[in-house]
Amino acid sequence: MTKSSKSPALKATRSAKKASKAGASKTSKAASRKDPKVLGTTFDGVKILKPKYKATHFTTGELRRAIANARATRSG
Amino acid sequence: MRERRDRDDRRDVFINCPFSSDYQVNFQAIVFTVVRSGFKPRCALENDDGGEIRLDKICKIILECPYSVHDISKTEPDLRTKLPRFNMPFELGLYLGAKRFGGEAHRSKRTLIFDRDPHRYQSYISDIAGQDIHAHKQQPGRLIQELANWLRDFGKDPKVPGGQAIAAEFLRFKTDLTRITAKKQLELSDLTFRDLADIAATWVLEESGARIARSRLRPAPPGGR
Repeated sequence: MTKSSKSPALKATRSAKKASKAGASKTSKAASRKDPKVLGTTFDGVKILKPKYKATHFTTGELRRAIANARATRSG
Repeated sequence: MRERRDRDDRRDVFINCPFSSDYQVNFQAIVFTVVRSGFKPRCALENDDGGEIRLDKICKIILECPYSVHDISKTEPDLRTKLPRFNMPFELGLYLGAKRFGGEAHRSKRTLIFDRDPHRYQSYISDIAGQDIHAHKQQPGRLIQELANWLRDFGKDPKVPGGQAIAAEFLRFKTDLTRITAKKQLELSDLTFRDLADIAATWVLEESGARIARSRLRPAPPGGR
């Protein structure tokens, strides 16, 4: 089969695939934009962003436990 | 155009201030306010990669930060060397240079400059007249209020809480910070910038009762440990 003898249906399928690829490309480009990563949202609607780097002296679990402990001590 | 849009999405704030022990509370206050306002603190201390030239590291951060806070109030000579530190004015100059000569992508960079009194800078760095210079009077509460107002205004984000509310939260944070470091058998002076930024972000959310959307976090055991 030569190029010129391709059926219209096949051409349409390929064209759709191309369009789909272009769409996917746009989506992945949009996704690759560096939107800030949100760690959580406060009661007043402020989105707290994930810090650029993790803590040096604390693991995530240690940090949460230490914070929970300090807050509990403060509130008695 | 694309670069500009990407940059506009960024909420990174370059913090250029003294790292000396007598400035520790103000430094904590700046980092806390930036985090609590929904922005991301960045600083020359964030990466201790000894292989990277310090100036390269600072330039990279400046490129990535559409906002910056500079404190040029520390003009006294160092007690040991009897010489003043010039890093803060130097990094301020770099940032202003990036804004002026960095092309379209950096033209909208925003700069907040702190000194202790309103017109004191005119005696030692008068070339920056016309910039956004605020006085903190060496008071963390005032610094927080000025910074929060500025972030709300120039960050175009009405959700940034009031400065007085953030200052009140900061007092509680400071109390807890001492306990948090003690729990790990550390001194406050042992905390790195990374520690401070991570502690502030986690503390703000815990204090707010928010659910932390970080997959690496598991629920804290009841009552702590």
